[in-house]
Amino acid sequence: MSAELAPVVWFDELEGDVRAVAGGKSASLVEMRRAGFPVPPGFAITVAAFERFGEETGVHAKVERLVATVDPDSTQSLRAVSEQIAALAADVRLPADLMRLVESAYRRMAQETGEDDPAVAVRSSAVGEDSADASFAGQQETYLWVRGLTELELAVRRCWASYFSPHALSYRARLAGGLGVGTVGMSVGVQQMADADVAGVMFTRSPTKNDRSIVAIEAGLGLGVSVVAGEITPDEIWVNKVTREIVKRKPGNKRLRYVPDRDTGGTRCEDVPEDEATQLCLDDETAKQLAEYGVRLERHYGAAQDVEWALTRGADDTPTLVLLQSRPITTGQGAKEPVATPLPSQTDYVIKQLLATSRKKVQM
Amino acid sequence: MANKQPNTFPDPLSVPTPEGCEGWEEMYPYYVLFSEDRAEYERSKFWFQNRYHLMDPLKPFDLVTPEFCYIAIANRNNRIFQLPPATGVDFRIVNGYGYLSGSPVLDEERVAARAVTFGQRAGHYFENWTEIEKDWLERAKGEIAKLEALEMPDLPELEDMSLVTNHQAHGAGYEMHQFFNRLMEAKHLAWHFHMEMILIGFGAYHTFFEFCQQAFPEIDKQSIANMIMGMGTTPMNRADDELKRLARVAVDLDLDDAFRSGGSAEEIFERLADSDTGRQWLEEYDKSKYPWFMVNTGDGMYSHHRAWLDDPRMIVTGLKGYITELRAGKDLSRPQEQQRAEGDRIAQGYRELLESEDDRKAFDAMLGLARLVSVHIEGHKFYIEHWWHGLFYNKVRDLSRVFVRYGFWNDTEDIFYLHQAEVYEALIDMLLTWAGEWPARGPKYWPPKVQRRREILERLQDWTPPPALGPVPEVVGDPVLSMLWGVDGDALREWATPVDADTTQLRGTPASSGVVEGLARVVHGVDQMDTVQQGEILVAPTTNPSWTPVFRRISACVADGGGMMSHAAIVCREHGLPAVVGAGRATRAVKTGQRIRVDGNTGIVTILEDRVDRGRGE
Repeated sequence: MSAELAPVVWFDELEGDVRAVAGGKSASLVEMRRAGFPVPPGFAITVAAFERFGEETGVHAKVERLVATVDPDSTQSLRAVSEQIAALAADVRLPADLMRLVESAYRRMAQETGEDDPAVAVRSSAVGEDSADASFAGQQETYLWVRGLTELELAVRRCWASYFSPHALSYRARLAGGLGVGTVGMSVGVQQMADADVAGVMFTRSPTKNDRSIVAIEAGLGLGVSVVAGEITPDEIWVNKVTREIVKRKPGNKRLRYVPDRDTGGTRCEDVPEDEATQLCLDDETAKQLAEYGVRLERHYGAAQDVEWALTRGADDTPTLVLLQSRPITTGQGAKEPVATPLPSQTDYVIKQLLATSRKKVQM
Repeated sequence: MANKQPNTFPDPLSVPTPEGCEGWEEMYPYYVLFSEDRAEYERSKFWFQNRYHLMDPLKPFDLVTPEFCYIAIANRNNRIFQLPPATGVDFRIVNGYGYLSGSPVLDEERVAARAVTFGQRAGHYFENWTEIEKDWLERAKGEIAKLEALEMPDLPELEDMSLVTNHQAHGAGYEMHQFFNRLMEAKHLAWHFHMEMILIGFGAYHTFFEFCQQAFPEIDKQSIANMIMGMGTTPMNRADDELKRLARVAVDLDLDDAFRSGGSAEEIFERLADSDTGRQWLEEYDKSKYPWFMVNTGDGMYSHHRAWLDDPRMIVTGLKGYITELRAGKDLSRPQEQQRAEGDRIAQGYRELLESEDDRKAFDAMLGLARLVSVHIEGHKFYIEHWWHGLFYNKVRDLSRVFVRYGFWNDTEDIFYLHQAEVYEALIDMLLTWAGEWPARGPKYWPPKVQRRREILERLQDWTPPPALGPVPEVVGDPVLSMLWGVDGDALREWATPVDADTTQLRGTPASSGVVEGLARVVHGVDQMDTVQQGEILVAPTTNPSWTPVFRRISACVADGGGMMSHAAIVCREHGLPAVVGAGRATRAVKTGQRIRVDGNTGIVTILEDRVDRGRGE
């Protein structure tokens, strides 16, 4: 690990191989910010911090010893070891010098947002695998509406501990790097919390027929988790990429929403009155603007994207769209047959189609 | 709404006759009726109501259109081009309404063999399209000129001496017979001209549509249509353009008052003839009127679709509207240019989304061909359904006046209650008796029949024909069925779903997207055209470019007839107005002043308030 890498780096100041130091998740946010997308600001607690914490507190040595005892084929063993590592992380605090760096970054966040204890989202950001793999490995720990330095520190340690979740251990057991702390490590992203009135996901394809001309938006109330976890029936809004027209508006039933819990921190779930639950929660203009981001993201990454987004209230209460994640759509994207093969003449295209038409069964 | 789709529609041989319409079959020839004689064949087939063209019950004479039209389609597609997947369109009448059935070729070897012939023959047309299109126009105009020149002979008391000195064998009886035959041949020929190029043109449309739907499974047909259409100035828009030109001339000559002061078209024209500027305008009018004002107010399928020149109310109404707009400083230019640019933008957008270079090559080839053929598909109507149609029906009226003179019926329009074969019978009756001055049977025989038929047809107007009959087809096959009549899985599902009788819903083809609620204005014909108020929803039997002035005032359109490619659909897309076409009996179900919702995305028209706002008048 490069000696000069800072343990805490503001998103926009990360340099070099961002993925290697801040993990896939944060790197993706950094890339989106650099490309001009509205992604809330934040900072990365880099792999250098993970490393320094492990060494200065002696946690890594303890972890290595525990991991050595694990039987990767036994769920029981994986779970037991994982729990012991989680207990370690719960007991050991961040060393003071590291803590000062985190505090300084958090204060900067406070300054930029104009809040004393700004709410943040704290997410594990796995290094060395792409985000799809990381998702598979269960390394997507997320803590929302985290306020204050104490809570932040706890969330960071929990994210680190997720590196040793049973899933992650099992996953890494099959990789060349082995089970231990390894050479990759773990980063944590700390991002200004998007205060979502409405949130959801967006695909730059239609969901069932995989049509490239459609941006499909699913929207729920409150935090996007209710949509992502499939707890509600979201509103469905489709925007045609070519005409930029809305081609589908289907109100869902958004019977519950996750909102910040102002008393205890974190989030709580609340019921939504029926008329609000069944009314479209995204207006046409916002949906079109969101779709525009989808088209630009797809163009930027050169592949179909699955995007998480939120509609937040800015400082002056104006609704503002923010993007929280964008990753390639992985399902149904195998090598696609071309629709047509080139033929010598225009008549040949007609003949070929008419032959196909003669066999085309009516689908009732 | 039914959840389970039936695999069959009502039995074609068991459709009940509406009360008071008993014996309706008597007015149509035996071969257009479902019968036990060929019930096995008829029951094996899927039939759909041709609500694109035949949204009203057909007067017997008006069968000339479907009869000659469907001869021409099968002749061209099967006997000439060997269209691989289908042989043509079969045709029946049920309670006065026209039903069609496609004839897919199901044997794969036969399809493949037909494809070889089709490749040579249709290929010849595609490869030489532009030259053939020019040639077609010259030939069509030549035939129209012959029809124009076809003069009805007189049936004189005493024939001219020249017959004797010229040693002419035949007399006026033969000439009248010849006139009738030539007239009917001209009508028949018109439909062969009609089908010469457009059927394979629809093949090219179909090819591009299928490609787009495969590449973009969610694409709506309207977007595909927009990519293809509006490629050139179509002669169908010429009447409207000439009307605008004449409105400008009227404004330049300060003739507003002559048009505004009211009165019939004839009175206005008489007033104009009184002044120098008026006569100047009339000179300009004479330059515009023929053939462009031969556009009729329908789509040339029925005898009551009269040309502007025969019913100049449309001309006067249109002029008044345009003069008012010009005085208000409005721009009269068509949104066609923007529409074209929008079509190009959409095509470019979809092209860019295609995955491979091969797909883009195919897209270019298919779109290129579809656009090439679109100019003729849009333009042929003016020559066949309007100019040719108008001349034909007026000459039939000339003939009818002779029958009226000899007492066969009372009114010129009564001839249309006879089938063409019956007119031929009546003609022989008349010639037999005219020559020898004996009493004809016709004057006793026809008037009660005409009367009864008129009553039945009036009653049949209120009957709602089921959208389809017989078993759901395995394949549709014929590209004309999918392109023109919109027969596909979606349509069949729709037709199988009963409409909600409680909310008074009507269903048609979604032709231009958007949803609008507003007050309905039912317009049956030109005489009601200027009743349409700003922002109302136009409900009309059908529309064509001669209705264009009205589209500038309305907020949405519902038409009894028409499809994706029909005038109302195209103009509404141009103006960004929601449209539902092919809605069947909208002009009868909806009343002026009712609040309705037009959903151009689903094709559903909903009557929201049954209460009619009487203040708006009927």
